[in-house]
Amino acid sequence: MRHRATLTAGGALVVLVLAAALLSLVWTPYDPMHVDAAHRLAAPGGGHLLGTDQFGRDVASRLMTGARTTVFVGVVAVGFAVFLGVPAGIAAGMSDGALGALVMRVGDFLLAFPALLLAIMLAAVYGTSTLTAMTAIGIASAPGFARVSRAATLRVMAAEYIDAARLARRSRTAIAWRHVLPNIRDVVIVQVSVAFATAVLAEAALSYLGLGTPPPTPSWGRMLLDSQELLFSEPELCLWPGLAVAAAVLGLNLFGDGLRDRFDPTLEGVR
Amino acid sequence: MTTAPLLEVTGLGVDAGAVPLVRDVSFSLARGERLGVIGESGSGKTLTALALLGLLDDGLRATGSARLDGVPFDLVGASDRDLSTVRGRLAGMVFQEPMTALNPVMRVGPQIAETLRLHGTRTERAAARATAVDLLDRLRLPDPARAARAHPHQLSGGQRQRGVLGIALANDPALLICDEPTTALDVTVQKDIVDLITGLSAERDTAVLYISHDLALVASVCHRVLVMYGGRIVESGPVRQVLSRPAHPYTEALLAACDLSPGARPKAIPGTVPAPGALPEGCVFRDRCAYADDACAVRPERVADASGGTVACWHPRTGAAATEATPPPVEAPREAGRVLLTARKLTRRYARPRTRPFAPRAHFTALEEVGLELRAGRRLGVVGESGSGKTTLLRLLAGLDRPTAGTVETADGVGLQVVFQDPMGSLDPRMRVRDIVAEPLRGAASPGRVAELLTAVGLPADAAARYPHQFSGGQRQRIAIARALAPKPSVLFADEPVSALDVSVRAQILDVLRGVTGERGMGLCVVSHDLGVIRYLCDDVMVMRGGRVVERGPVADVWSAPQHPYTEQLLNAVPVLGRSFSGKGS
Repeated sequence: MRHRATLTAGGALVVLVLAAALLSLVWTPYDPMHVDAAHRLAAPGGGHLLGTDQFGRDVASRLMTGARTTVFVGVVAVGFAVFLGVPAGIAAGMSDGALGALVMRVGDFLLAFPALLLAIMLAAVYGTSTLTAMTAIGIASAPGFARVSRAATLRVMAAEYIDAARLARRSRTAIAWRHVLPNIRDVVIVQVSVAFATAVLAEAALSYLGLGTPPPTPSWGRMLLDSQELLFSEPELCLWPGLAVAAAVLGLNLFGDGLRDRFDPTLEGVR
Repeated sequence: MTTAPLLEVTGLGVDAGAVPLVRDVSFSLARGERLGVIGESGSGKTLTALALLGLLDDGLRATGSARLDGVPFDLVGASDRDLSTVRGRLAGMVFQEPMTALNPVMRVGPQIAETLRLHGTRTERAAARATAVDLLDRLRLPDPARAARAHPHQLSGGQRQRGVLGIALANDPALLICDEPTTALDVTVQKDIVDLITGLSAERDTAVLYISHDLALVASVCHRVLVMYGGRIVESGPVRQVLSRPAHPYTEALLAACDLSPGARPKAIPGTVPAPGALPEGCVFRDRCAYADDACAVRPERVADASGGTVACWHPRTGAAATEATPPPVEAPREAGRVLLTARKLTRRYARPRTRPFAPRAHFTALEEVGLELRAGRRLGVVGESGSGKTTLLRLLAGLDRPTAGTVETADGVGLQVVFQDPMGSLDPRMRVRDIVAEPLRGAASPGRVAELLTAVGLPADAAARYPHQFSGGQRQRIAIARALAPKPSVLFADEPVSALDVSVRAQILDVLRGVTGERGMGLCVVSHDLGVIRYLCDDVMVMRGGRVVERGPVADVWSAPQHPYTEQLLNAVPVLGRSFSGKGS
């Protein structure tokens, strides 16, 4: 029952991040943007749970608001990737001919193209914004969805119930909706959780490089960047956003592993 | 038997958590004796074998005792380290699926040699390899040296199974455990493998524990037999006696269910094989037994009967009833009606992958110039082994595939539907039964029509709201038949409709197919490797081999006087209960 533990631990971490993000919508201990010159670099504890940064902003509040940015970017980017990748993968899996090959080669091209370079190019053209970051992450994650959807679709298409549907003169679209999509749902859900973890990391990296969410909106990557100059004098300042990113990614990966073990019947008995 | 038994199993049980899967299995096996274990899926026969060699999955626990002569410890509960000195040396095992039993990336010879070297029979690498080739030769593999150099995928199913047998027999074990060793093989190959097993067992005095669902096969292989049901042995005894004069009602019912001989009507056992947790209190067979009464609420002990067998039943049969066969249903003579479908010179070729770049594409001909005619009210059987092209033919006829050459013409207004082989794979697991059955109706399905279809195939109306996994194999095949009948087709194709089903429910499905096609003047075309099924169901038969039709004619004529040698070979390869008893000395 190892997968149960993995699922629970991962789920708990994911819920923690989500709860922090949701709570920040209505309440944070302090205003995360409020600059308080009187309390610069306050130590953790006391009035500020995790202390304040060099501008006197409350770190805990900024972490919570940063979680919101992360979740928002993740949801939109992964949603974009699902919308792009899953139909492409299903189409590729259902047509054994040129279309399938074309979709997969486009996917290969995108996979071979460094995601960071894509983000830099998009930022150069459209300027740095949360939207640019989300678009770049979404495009970079789409081939993954296309791949798993295609593999799962190929498996479904080999089943006899697809032959039965063809005998019932169901159209290809109807087969895709009625049979393929419900039967590849599990793999797509697992891929969502994996892609979400990648998106969290990518968002942090882009913000750190100044290509993501522009200041003053708090984000974990931006917090890392801000704390960098104080790395040796105030190391805990970069510890908190670092831990937040690690917890979110670890949680999502564990959750994804747990889901896959749970859904994949071929792993039955291997656990 | 004067000597001590080779294997003595006492009170063997297997549990999955709190659910008992196998209970109170006790038997002994003498040297050179071949003991059959008969049972349907879920009877615990495979678990029993796996428990003996400590091969149970994690989460399953064995209890009781199993002593093998020459082994100082009890096989049940022994450590893996101890058991590894037994497995492959004193006891060999042959599994059902020869492809997955061999390591696909290792040549066959070295796999056998590895067994020899691990157990110290041959320590020299070269000597071990030479012995492996000798062994393959004894297993009558043509060109054994070449087979030893081959990878498993380069061999046919029968050759692979000989390789597995080679590993099992490499160290000349005293005990060979075979779990459905021929179920995945063609009948003609099955006969060779079975002959090999019995021959080698007699020659080397090897005891064989032979697990199978095929009663006739067990009758042709074994001396004694254990009948298992619901995780327990319900009857045991000499094979001839148990299978000709069964004492337990389950054995009797099982024999009646698989009797497809002419003039007989197979009688399905009511109900389905219960899940391990859902067995009745008292006698395990109580809820499906025709003779059950209040006494059966207490579990009967297995007691010896007069003729050297044992039976666990309060109302053992005397054997008289077993011989009375139910006559087949009287059918109104069916006139061969109008021609529904005509196929002319159907050919299907597949391109083989290129062996090197720019090489000309090789082609494989799966079907060559096959023609046929299906008429209303007639039932055609297509029989053949794997690779005969029978499934290719069915797919072409049903319009699921396009022929390379030739034509399929259907008469005006003729609808075609197919019942597939695997009742799990042919039903979408994410759909409710009502949506599955209504699939061909395209929105025109009223709940009443769905209920009507479910009733026609013998399913309760409340089945509509459930999902396929909530049904047994036989029930799932009924759902598949209901779906095929929904658009009122004129021709029904059935691809191995009962080969994935338990013997006890096979007869029900055959009768459903027979009933629905008889009533409505439908044409039926059944593809099967099972000659008994074809004979029971069909009027005409086509025998196929290598993509061609080798013989065709009315079923009765082909059976009584086969014209083609291959047909004769096929007919002779199928084990038949009566023939096994008359043909064997012991």
